[in-house]
Amino acid sequence: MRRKWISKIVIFFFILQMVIPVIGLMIFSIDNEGLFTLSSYQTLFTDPSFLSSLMNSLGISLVSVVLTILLVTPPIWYGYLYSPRILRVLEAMSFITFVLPGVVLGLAYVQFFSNPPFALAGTPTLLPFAFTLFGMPYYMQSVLNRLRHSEAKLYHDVARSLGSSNLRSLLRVQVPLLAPGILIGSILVFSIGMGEFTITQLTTGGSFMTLPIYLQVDFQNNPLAGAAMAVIALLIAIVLVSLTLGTFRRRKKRREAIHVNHSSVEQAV
Amino acid sequence: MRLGRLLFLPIFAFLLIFAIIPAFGVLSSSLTGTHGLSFTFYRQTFSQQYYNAFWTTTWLSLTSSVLAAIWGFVIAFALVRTSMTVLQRIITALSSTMANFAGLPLAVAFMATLGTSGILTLFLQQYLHVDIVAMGFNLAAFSGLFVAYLSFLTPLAVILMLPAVSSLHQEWEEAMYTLGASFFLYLRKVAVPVLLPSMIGTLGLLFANAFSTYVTSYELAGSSINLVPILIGYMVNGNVSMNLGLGDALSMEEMIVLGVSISFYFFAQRKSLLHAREGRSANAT
Repeated sequence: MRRKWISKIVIFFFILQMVIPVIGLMIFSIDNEGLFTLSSYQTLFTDPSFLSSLMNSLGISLVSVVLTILLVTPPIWYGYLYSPRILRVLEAMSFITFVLPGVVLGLAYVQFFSNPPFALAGTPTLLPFAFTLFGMPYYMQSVLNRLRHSEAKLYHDVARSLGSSNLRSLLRVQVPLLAPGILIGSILVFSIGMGEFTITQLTTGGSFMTLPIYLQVDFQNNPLAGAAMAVIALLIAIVLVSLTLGTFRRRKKRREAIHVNHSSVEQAV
Repeated sequence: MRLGRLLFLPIFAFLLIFAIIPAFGVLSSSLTGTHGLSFTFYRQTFSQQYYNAFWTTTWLSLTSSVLAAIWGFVIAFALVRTSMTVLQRIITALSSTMANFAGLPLAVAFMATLGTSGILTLFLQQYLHVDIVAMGFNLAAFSGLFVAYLSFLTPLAVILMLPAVSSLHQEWEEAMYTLGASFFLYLRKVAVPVLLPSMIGTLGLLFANAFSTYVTSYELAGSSINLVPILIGYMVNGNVSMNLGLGDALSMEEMIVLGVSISFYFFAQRKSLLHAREGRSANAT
């Protein structure tokens, strides 16, 4: 009994550790020398450069998500079903991002992409590629998890033996089967895109305003508005995390449903 | 069916263009002086300033990741024992939110809370008469970065440790108690040895994470602390001295450090995978 009590104290301190900076930030953003104010939020939402940086961030994150889905999903699916050896090579290579942190990749891009064949440094063109690279290991794992738990190959073979074409099985059976994995992976890539600072700063020199770049400049000029902005970043993080966890929970239920409802394959064919 | 392998073409081309070739570009220009092959830039990195930067970065990363790994282990251990699913779900959500929140917003949160005019700093001063600034705490120095690093390394440690810790069988512990062992003997003889691979792996990943942290230290300390990622950033960004070759040499050295510490993680992961397989076959027989 005593040990349960100790466990709870440990967890309490962990929650405290996580929550203190967040509470401090929230109070800071609504504190006007002891009086409650929402002026910092008001300034923020009436600032046109805040809105344009929000649009930039959303745009670049969505482009990264689309790029990741198109570029990464087909080879993983095909590799899992037919060439596991190449898939293993790809999986190992995706971990290259762990030894290529933002600053190093930024430095590399600034040098490599400044010469005529690919003179892209200084423009936001490089960003979706960089975010795709950073998100790749997470996206791959989330789709692979889905493949491992859903017997995708069996369904593909069944669909084809019942006379479906490859393409039809792909669109009607495989894509719906993989959808939850694709969704979770996409949310992970999206949240990388919304929060990335280093590459954006180093390759565009701050000329392309995204939310993190705006936050960095804004907090120096006006700490209150900067704090309000960080609270919004926190809210975005909470929404994204609850989306992933929500999908995750539903996915578990659906997995059971798929095992029970084999006839859905036949319907799809 | 061979035709399907063409699907691999775009992604390998992508990795080549956006990761491997630029990385080799860094390698080659770090070794190129005015007259072909040269180690000038590497020699520069061994001068006092850069040597100190490596030392400070290593020390900061090592202390914060060791403490985060131990603390994360304790939390994971406590979490498994509470057996309250609601609490576990809250912690998982909290940990992943904090992992998403890391970087710039977290740095801003720390300045708002523990900066010289931060909420907690002022609160401690006014109500408890504890002046943490006078006590030597400075958010823009080692002490401040240490606290900030802990707040994103700890949730990461919990996420990484939880699967391994929850694989400890309750029966092992009960068997130990039946045979008259104490809790600490159980920890020392069973829990820690079983979890050692995953602890070392977690430590490797946390260390690499801390060592490559740029945004948090850039925002909190800027140029007032001598850290390797910040120096590399200044080589690109600094209006004072744009020295790409030196940045390349520093980057190569950083990549070596990261490669070594990450390999601990992969090595440990393989080890625990083998462990699990052996366990399963032992159960089967």
